[in-house]
This record gives sequence, structure tokens and C-alpha cells, in this order.
Amino acid sequence: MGRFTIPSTAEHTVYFDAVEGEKVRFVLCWCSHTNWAVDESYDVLESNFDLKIYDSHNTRVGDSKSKDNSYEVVDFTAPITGEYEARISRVGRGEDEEVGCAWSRIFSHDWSMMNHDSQRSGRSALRGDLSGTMHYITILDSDKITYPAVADIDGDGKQEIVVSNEDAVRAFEGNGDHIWTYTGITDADNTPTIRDVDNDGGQEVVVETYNSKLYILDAASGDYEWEYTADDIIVSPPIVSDIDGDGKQEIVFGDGYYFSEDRHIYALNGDTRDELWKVTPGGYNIWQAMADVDGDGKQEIIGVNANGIFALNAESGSMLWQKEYITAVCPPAIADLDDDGGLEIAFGTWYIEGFGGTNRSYVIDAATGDLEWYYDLDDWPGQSSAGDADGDGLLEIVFNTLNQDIYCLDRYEGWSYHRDGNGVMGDDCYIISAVAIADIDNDNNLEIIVGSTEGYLDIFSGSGSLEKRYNLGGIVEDPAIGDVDDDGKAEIVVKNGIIGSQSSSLRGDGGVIHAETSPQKATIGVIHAKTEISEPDNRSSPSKTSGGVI
Amino acid sequence: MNASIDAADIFTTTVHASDFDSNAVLILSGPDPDLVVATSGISFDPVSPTAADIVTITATVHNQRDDSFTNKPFKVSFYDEEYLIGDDLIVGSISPGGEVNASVEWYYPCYGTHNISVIVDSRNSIPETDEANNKADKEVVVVSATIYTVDALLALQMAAGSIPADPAADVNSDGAVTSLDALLMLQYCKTQ
Repeated sequence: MGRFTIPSTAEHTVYFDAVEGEKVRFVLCWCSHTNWAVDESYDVLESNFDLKIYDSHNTRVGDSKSKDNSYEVVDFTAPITGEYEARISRVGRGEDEEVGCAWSRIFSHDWSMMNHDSQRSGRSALRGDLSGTMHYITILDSDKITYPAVADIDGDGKQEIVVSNEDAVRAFEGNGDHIWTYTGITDADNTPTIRDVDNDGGQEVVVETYNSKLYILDAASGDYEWEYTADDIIVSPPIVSDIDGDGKQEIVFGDGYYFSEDRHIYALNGDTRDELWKVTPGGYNIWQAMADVDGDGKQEIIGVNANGIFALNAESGSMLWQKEYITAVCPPAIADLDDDGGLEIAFGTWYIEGFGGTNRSYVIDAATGDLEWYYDLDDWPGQSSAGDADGDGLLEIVFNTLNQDIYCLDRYEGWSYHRDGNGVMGDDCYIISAVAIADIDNDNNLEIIVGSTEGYLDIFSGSGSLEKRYNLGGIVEDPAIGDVDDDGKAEIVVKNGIIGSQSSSLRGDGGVIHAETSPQKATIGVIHAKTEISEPDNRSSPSKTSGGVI
Repeated sequence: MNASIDAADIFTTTVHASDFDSNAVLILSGPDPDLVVATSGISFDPVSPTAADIVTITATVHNQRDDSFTNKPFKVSFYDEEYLIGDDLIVGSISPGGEVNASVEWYYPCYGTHNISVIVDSRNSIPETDEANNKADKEVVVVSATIYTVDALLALQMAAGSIPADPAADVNSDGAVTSLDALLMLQYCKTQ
């Protein structure tokens, strides 16, 4: 907290620390020249201040520029750990002002949406001791379950698990106790999103469905609150964020699935439930992530749609840039991958016979869409996650492939680990588990946690060794990291599926899982210079890429 | 890879659960820590307090699991019989096999023998493999704050072995009643 005077011609900066993932609220208020000796009517607003918050990379993470009041409030989730600056600037002329400020930091370990957060980082700051024998409990055994979300749904300070399947949404305590089931739903096929949609202090569960409906439920009780019907089926899990800086939450999602050029992205006011805007960026399938990619203090929506990738102004829905990438079908992840203070986007494209495209993982500049680097692959990549897995100070992108191979790449180096697997299930179902990143053995290094179609939950070190392999059987997909037993440490919440002859022994009561293998080393290790790291379209590329080393 | 893939199907990947016959959601967790406190881990400063002292009671809390750590604040509570002396909140993590000291100030205890109990994680906030080893007791003798010349004489007799030693007479806390304790008592009497 602080109290100080800002002279009529000066600005002021307040410094404070925050840890990545913390929810931070910074509040600024100022006096208005009370003159009690004369008349309270002299207590008039003489000055106006704006508040901008910057992280240690000088990236603006939030701002508040309201008028006609004597306060500003900025809520943000700390993108990085370090010192933050609250820059208080005067708007127009004014008197010397007595100013007070305060801030609060609440650490959230929620895995409250697809791939952890709206940037789809897949990275949790939780630490665990999941390096030896692990215990497990099965909290739900049903059909057609989607991937779980983990969040404190009832404000009791403990995390719960929310999972949907075709006709129900369910919530569970971390010990497996059932909390509620909502059955007024059909065709829910992806991870629910858990956020306080209407700013009432309580969380909501937002569920997208293939029957074109978006459901909003009270997260504590499972009670129906409202729904919205889109034009077409909804595939991508929604993002809930304050896109227009009004301090209230909006819901952003896309519809569309099959070949049609009129797929939409929607923004709904979470409080009034009104549709703010609906745009048609084109393309077939729409995945979204969100971040302030251009440092203007406002959110942008990054979408992929099989034709390419684009950025929208989240406040208006207007197109900022669009780049063509045939068969861009993997959900994007947004992170500062080269530690330059700006954000990049990682996403994958597929080669499909008779359709084109390439099997590649791309990294592009998030502010402009310009290509930074790419890496050619032997098969289809899945969704990327981002974290400094190898501890070199640069974030890596980490992803699984259809053949269940794991890749961990930054701009200069990387490794891959070939697992004997096959994600082709039948004629139209392809399984590529997403990747979670966290320090799950408390060794101050990040590990990579990923499922496989061969029934394994694998844990890799950041340098590419397979540290632990747990044989869960069946098909293991999309691990989430949470603290569901409220011990302050990480647990893994994961879907374990069965198709046809696949089987899993981990049903029913809880038990103990033993690591199956002794640690191994990546089968490839460091990937050296690859000639396919090139610069398409003859565009210039940062000089660091000229070395040609990934 | 299926070469005859229908282009319309290419986007059904990775999020399509409808082909599954069965699914489960599993929670995988690591081992729990085991916090212990032992009688030998409880200490008093001063060792032989008087009723005029502010006594610091310290308890060493040990995590005896080598594969699990704590990562959540927990309370260590100190009791004089059934009366709560105070709590110490342990905020930092205790590493596998690690330990931490918890302490409270005990203000001007009544003279006599006290049974001090230490309860680790008294609010039960840390899941542990063994919750039954979180309590330990230790007796401490608090002597009167007033010392008379006769006490010095008795201490001298204890030092000589002519009467049994009373721990309360070990005023310099060296573990034995000696002539030095008697001398200290005399000096104390002189200042009173």
C-alpha cells in the first residue's frame, strides 16, 4: 500500500512484485481537495489520473482510464514472475493530489479452461511430488467424457473438478465425491470453461455443445442460468475475459465445423447476456486463444480456421491481421517464446492427402502475424503448450503428434522423443493428447506430462528423458494439473478412455500406480540444424534464425 | 495415417469423444508428507525458567518422508496442559526429510511443574500418511521468581550430594546443580 502526493505536473510509479499466475488487483484513488472549513461543496473532482500496469519486460498487462470518478482499478493475471510497475499519469491539468494505492495478490492454480488459460499455455505453476509411486482415484466412469477443468467452483478455497459428456455436466470434489449433475444438455464435447461470467462474485461453468448451444451454469450449484444459441455447432471452448476494459467479463467463442465459409466468432456480454458482436472471419474450424498481443492494453483474439490464422480486436471483432496457412487446425498457444517482451503464437498444420498442407509447427509474431520460424514434422502435430522446459531462459513449445511422438522446440534447439503409438482411431477419430507443463517433482525444473494412445501417462524431463511412465491402460488424454486435495501441491487429473479392444484396469476404486520403466533418454536428443528451417515468401527473418539451429 | 480420409472429417480430431466406449476421469496424486514432533525436539529458553521469565518454547517439526514435501501453511499449537499458550504458523515448505522450528513465547508462567504439549498441524490442513504422530509432550519446572538465601544453601547441599538434586535449582541451565548455581542464587538474593 502507499500514500503520496503527486504534484500537478508530475507522474508517479509504484513498484510491486507478483508471481506468474497470480490474480492481482491494483487500486488507485485520490483526494478531491476537501475544504471542510468552508463548505463540503468544495469537495469537487479536480484531477483525473490513468493507471497502467507493466510487467518486468515492460509489457503492459492492464490499464484503467475511467473518468468522472476518483479511482482506477486494474485486475490482471500476472503473466510472469517479477517486479511490476503501476504507472500513474495525470490526464490534463490539475492540482497537487493526495493519492492512495493498494494491491492484492491471489494465487490461482485453476486449470479452468482448455489448456489452462486463455493463452492456452498448458502450463501450471503448481509444484508436486509426483516422481515416484502415484496414487489414483477414479472419480467418474461414464461414456463420452470430455476433458476436465479444475477450479474452485464454490469459493471454499479448494479446487473441484468439472467435466461434461454428451448429456450432462458434473462437478466433483477432489476426493471423488459427487457435487452436482446438470442433465439439461446434449452434445457437450470439450472442456468446460469456469469463470465469474457476470461479476457476481460466484463462478459460472460455460459449456459449449455440438447442438449450437452455449450453456451458462452456476458453478457452485450446477443450476441453469442462461443459454445462447449460435448459428452452428460450437467446437472451441469459450474464453471468458474483459475484452472491452469495462471491468466486466465477456464470453468469446466460435461456431462452425464443416466446410462452410460463414463460420462466426461471437462476443457476449456476460452480465447482460447481449451479443456484443458477431464476425465472420472465414474458414472452417475455429479455435481461439486470447492475449494482448500488441501491447495496447487490450485483448486480441487469435483464431485458426483451417485457412490460416488471424487476430481480431477483441473489443470490436475487427480483423487486425490474417495469414494464410492451409490446414491450420491446431489450437494456438500464445507466449513470449523468444524473450523479447513481445508475444508469439505457436500452432500446427497438417498434410492431408488430396487436400494439401504440410506437417509443421509454426511460430509467428503475435502482433503482426509475420513468420518467425517453423519446424517440419513427420506427422500431424497436436496442440502446443509453452514453458521453459529446459531451463535455458527461453520458452519452448511442446506438443504431441498423431504417432504419439513428443517434440520440445525453441528457436535454436530442441528434442523429440519417439513413442510407438498411433492416434488413428477408426475412420474419423484421431487422438493427440495435449501436453501439460509443470514442476511436478519439485526439482525446480519443469516436466512435461502427456498421455498416449497406448495407455501411458508419460513424464518427460525438460531435456528429453522419459522420467516416468505410468501404464494406465486405455487411452490417456489431456492431463490437467490442479490441487484438488488442497494440500498445496500438484495432482494430475486426466481422462482415460477406452475404444474397442483397448482396456484399462484403473476403474472403480482407487489404487496405486507404479512407474513402469526406469528413466530413459530421448531417442533423438538434440535436433541439429535442419535445412527445412527456412523463410517462406522471401520475407526477412530475425538474424538469430540464420544459424539454422532449432 | 488413413490415406482415404474424408476432408470433411479432418477437423473432428483430438476433441471428439463420441467414439469412445468408456471414459474415466482419474486423479493421480503423489505421496503425502508425514510431520512428526518428538519430546526430544521440544526445548525451553531459559531451560529452567522462573515465573518472572518470558519463556520461548521451540519445537522441531520433522517431515520424515523422503518423497514428499509440504507446500501449504500449517499451525503448530503449544499447550500448557489444556490451556493454549499460542500458535506458530509455518508458512514455508518443508522439503523431503527436512525440518523446521516452530516457537511461541510463554509469558510469566506460574511456578511448578508444567506439562507442555505441542500439536503439529493442529488445524489438520496438511494431508499426511500418519496423523497420529503429530503430538508430543515435555515437562518443564518453573521456579518461583523469588529466591531466598536458604535456596542457595539447599542448592549447595544438592551440589554436595547430601540431598537429591532438584532441576529447579539448576539456574544456569547446565544440566546439573552445582556450587555455581548456589553462588548465582546468592548473587540474585543480593540484588533483590
